[in-house]
Amino acid sequence: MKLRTELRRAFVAEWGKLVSVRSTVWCAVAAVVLAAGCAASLANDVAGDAERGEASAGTTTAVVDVLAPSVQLAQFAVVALAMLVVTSEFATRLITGTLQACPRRGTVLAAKALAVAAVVTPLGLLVGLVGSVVAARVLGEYGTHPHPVSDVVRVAVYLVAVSLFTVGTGAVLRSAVGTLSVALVVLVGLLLISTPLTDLLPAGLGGQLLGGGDGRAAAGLLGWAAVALLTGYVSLRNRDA
Amino acid sequence: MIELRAVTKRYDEKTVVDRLDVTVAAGRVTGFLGPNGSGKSTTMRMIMGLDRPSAGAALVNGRRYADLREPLRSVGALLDAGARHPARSARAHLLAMARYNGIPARRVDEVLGLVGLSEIAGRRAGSLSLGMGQRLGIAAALLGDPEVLLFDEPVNGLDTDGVRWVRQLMRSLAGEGRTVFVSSHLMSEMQLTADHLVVIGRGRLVADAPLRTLVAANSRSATRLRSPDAAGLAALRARMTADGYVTDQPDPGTLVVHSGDQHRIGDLAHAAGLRLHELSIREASLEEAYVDLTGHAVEYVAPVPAGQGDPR
Repeated sequence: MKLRTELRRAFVAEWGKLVSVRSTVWCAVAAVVLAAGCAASLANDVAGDAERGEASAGTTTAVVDVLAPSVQLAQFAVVALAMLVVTSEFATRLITGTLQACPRRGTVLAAKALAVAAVVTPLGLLVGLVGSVVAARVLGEYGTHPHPVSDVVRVAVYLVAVSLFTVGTGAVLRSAVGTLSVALVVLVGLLLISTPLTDLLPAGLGGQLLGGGDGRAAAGLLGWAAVALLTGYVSLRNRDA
Repeated sequence: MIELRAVTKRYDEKTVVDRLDVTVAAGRVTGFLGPNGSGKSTTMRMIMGLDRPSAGAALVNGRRYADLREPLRSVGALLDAGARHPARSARAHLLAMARYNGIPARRVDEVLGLVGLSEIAGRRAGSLSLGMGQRLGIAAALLGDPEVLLFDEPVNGLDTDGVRWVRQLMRSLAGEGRTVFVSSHLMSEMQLTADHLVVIGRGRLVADAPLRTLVAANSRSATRLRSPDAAGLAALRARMTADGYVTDQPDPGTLVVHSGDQHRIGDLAHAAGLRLHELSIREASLEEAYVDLTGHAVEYVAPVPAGQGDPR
């Protein structure tokens, strides 16, 4: 059997698993609601400051400045979605059944990553779109929206990278609590500590990407996701299930 | 066919499975027995490629599990019936396994029917009872119509009908020429189901023989005679003891001969002209044979409180 056939079948199986549990839907809904809610609240603050004359006259705020922190909050719903694809199998011991059906562990992990990416790509576009629209509407005359399309695409790329990073981390740590903790620290916590390396770590790269950075930020973040997935693969292959 | 070749599993210093050499042949039910912690589940997990042997190899149809393509079509296993996502429906659970192996959805509905779960196919797997979960696990094992089947404690949680159903299923699967390897701690169940037994203790092979041979070799069969003629019975006892039989006389009207040869014993009683009200044989059970075999290999021994010893 060709490797491609094996991977295609594995992808279809993992996709079916992902969409056959309600938690996936709830996480997706939560991501959109969090992004919209946070964007509305932040935009309202900005607009309010401007109306009360607390900001200097003529100041406008770019939609992306409201969108980026909203996505950094909403990402945890996406992290939860991606994490559950791996950690729920260890928690329920379902992993033994999965590995019976497909003993090649690399195939299983690749299929899980692809299924997550297949869900998070459209979800990320939706989060970006809803967040942008809400931010733009609430900012009104105080907002500018120079790159409406690329803002949305950046959000999708960011969320896909973050979800893949989470899948890899989940495969290493196997526990939900551990995975979520690592994601929290690596994706946001490190922003609080300023070091010369901050710009090269996922949190810094993510901030750059969401804030309008170039392709290097995206490549860097996807690189971190690849490192996590590779570490996850090595761990899955070497440890007993 | 399943082959264990000096398969060994060590965790740090502890050896859980120690150089097991066993061949599980097709066409019969092979029971896998051993006390708790003797390495049964670890052995099964190594066969299924879930745990990696520290040394040696576990092969299915001559290949390592990890090297099988579309493995569910050659090996089906029920290792852990609780291993399912509680929020996913029974059907979706099986469908995911089927898709991995290119097994059509039609087959999923077929096996659900086979185990009697068609009506609850859409129910969340977390809401299934212990017995239903066990049936779902068996359905997963049958999914690829495999030649080799492994079951770890398959009758756990099943009611009487369920137990009989599993017994008949095992027998018929073996009857079709498949390899059936089943672990259980229920000796009475094994005695009814298995043709051949593999017994391990502390990770080591204790016995690998046909059920009949094992039971006979560790025989504790006894014949009980009851007679209204106490004096005659005592005379018979003396005669039999002289012939080398081991006997007991729990009360004047009862004689227990530790031998299963009821023909010879009956003839002796007849020759002595003894009136008998009962001549009954108590067959040795697998349980007794098993206790004899593994008594020294039990890992965790609970002290028996004084005065509550073995009622035998």
